[in-house]
Amino acid sequence: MTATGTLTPEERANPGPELLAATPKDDFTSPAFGAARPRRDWFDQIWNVLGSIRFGVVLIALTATSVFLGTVIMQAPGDVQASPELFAAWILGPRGRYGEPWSSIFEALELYRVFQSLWFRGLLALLSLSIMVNVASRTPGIIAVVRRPPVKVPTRFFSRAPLRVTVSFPVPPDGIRPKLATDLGRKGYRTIAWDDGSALAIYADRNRYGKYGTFANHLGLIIILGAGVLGNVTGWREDAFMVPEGTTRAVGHDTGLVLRNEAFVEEYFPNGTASDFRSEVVVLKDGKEAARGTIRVNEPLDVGTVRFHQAFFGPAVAMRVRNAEGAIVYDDSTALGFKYDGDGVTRNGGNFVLGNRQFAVFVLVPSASLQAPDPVIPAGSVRLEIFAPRQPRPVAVETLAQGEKREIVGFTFEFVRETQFSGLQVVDNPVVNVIWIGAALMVMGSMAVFYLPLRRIWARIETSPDGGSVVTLASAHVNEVLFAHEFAALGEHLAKKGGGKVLASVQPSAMGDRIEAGS
Amino acid sequence: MAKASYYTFTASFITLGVALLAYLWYTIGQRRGAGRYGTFFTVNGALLLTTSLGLRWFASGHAPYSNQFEFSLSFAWGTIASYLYLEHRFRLRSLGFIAVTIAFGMLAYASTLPSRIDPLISALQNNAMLTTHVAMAIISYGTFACGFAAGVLYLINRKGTISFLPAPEVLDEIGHKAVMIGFPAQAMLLILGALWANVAWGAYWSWDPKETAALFTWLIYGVYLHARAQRHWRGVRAASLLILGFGAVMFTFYGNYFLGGLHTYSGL
Ligand code: HEM
Repeated sequence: MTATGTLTPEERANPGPELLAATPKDDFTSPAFGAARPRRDWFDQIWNVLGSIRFGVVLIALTATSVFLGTVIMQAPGDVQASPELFAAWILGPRGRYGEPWSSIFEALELYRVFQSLWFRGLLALLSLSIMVNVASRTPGIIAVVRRPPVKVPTRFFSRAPLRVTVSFPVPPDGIRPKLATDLGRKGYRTIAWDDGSALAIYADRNRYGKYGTFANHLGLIIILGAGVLGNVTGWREDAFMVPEGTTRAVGHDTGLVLRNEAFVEEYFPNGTASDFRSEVVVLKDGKEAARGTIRVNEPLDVGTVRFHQAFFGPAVAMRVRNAEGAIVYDDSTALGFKYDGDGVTRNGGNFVLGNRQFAVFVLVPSASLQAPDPVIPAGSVRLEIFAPRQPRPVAVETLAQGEKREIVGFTFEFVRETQFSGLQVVDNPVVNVIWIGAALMVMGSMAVFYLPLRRIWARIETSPDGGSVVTLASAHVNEVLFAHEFAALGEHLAKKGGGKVLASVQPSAMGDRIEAGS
Repeated sequence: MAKASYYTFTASFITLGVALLAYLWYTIGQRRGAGRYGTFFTVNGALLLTTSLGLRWFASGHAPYSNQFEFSLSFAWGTIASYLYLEHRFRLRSLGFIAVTIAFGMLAYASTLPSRIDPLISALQNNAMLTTHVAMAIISYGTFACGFAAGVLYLINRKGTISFLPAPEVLDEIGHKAVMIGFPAQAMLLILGALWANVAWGAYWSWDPKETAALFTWLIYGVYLHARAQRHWRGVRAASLLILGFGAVMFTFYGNYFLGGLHTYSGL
């Protein structure tokens, strides 16, 4: 980039004296992306493009555009994406909304599932790669900025720098130099003394380590993106882990965990909206108690890296089933966590399996939110639909009232009572904490760059005719109105501290409103 | 208490209206003396609004941003606070008439909304999280509003020929300063939101429309920061990005009118 006359980010952010005085370039200003060294092979060319900030801007803009499209265009929910039948039903909505040809174009471009699409993932991968290449190529420059400050500047810099303040002191140069160094030190500058030919001089800089923030910032970003992928690969989640009150369910996923729902409680505001719902649970690992506690919406329970969240709840029924000999073959609760439409109404349903997969039993109750009464199932009763393997129609359909026993297909079914199930989300994301580390790095890194900007000042101390000294402070930060102001104030501060007087002050841009200045 | 909060809100609304007139007179009417009145009324409007928000907080027991009314007040507060900070730092008042117009507009909008205090639904009952999450929204959206003001003035005065407006390079720097505050704040907004969602919903990021709208906004300012690192992207293009970015802020803010998703109930 330097070859074409523009500045590298480092040069722009840290203008050194060489920008004004044509001295041979120090290493720290050498082009960040290697444009000055002739790089001809294809690897270098790709490297240069990937690492260029121009390409970075394009990538960030493309990401922004994709995120925008994914925000304004209807996105298919996860379960819809997973099932072709559900998707076929779902797509009718967007088709009607956007019309043709848009709907087909959106479908072809996977715009109904932007964030799960391959192209979006590819874009994020390219973004990460570009960041890595860019940071790698900027690293030597940044380290040089911090470790090898351009202490010496040509004398003419002191008469050409955009920011200059001249101060006279009644003390000779070798008396004022340590004093200036101390006062600059109090303002947060580190100083290095040097000699500019006949005159004494000081180099001062502040916040040089803030430069390293850009590593933390972009590294944090890569960590977040990487941990996102890793979490998808190594973790799992169960969105509908339904455990009826008083029952025990295995978590699965090779965790060896079993959760027992001891009690479920729901509470309401006077206006009828839910104010709280919670489950009292015990989690066993390989038969031994591993955790016990209350799970609320904002209070999950952690067992190792597995986290249990309260998500929803619904009706459940406790059933007892005996075989022909009178032995109990089923004594458990069934969560009725699914909605079924039939007979013009919606019902809650769930199922359990009897014997060695001899029968599948579907249990249905009227929905609690039902306005009109169910025409078939009276409130407080359950309907059982019993299916034999590989048969499309139930072999028996019976409705039982609470407490009732009935013999069906050779078993005695007893509807013990209605209870509730607690719907939990179970998540195992072993790397989620890595995301937070990445996030902290990202924010702190950018704040370091923004709030700790590198500042450089040079001072040249000449002997004045009356035996005192004349100090010229110079700095090359252009287009920084606030710093220009701070710089002028620093000159005044140093003058006051050393018993001197400001003779002249040069600033390119004025502070304040031009109306106030009386123009 | 809720009544007193509403009265101070109305008082602040009127005070900011006066401040707006003073700033207009100052900048467009080029009357030097009016600037001080602008600042005076803005500071008082801000104090009244702070009182109103404080009373509401006290009355409801939670930070005042659980519905659209409360968040509009907080957004206006953030805009004024950021503006007053920039006015102080850069010693200039010419941004006032735009920044205060935005704040005034938010309050005007709020005055059309129901101001009752609702009980919080369970997902919102995590107070510390809610407070910091939305505090970051206020800081970032407030500073982005000021960035927008700087961008608009830049486009108006890009040649520096309008003598009563600040020089273009000063406006460019104000916009950049605003984004330097707003960008990390919005990053924290997204992160705190993710932390919160991780606790409440078991997923730190669900590509929910409200999340993606906020991410989109953040990425626009990301484009701004990187584009501006190239010299020829400063000035007009950077100023246009500041305006586009604030458009995205408004889109995020009003998005729940046309976007569904997990956040719909809260109005945030
Ligand atoms: C969404 C992705 C990105 C985010 C959120 C981001 C964030 C930031 C932030 C906050 C800064 C200013 C603070 C600092 O210097 O660290 C910055 C600077 C920078 N970024 Fe990024 N970045 C992203 C992607 C990229 C990409 C893809 C590239 C290059 C290919 C890149 C190259 C740079 C460079 C060169 C600077 C220094 C600019 C200057 O000196 O003003 N960044 N980035």
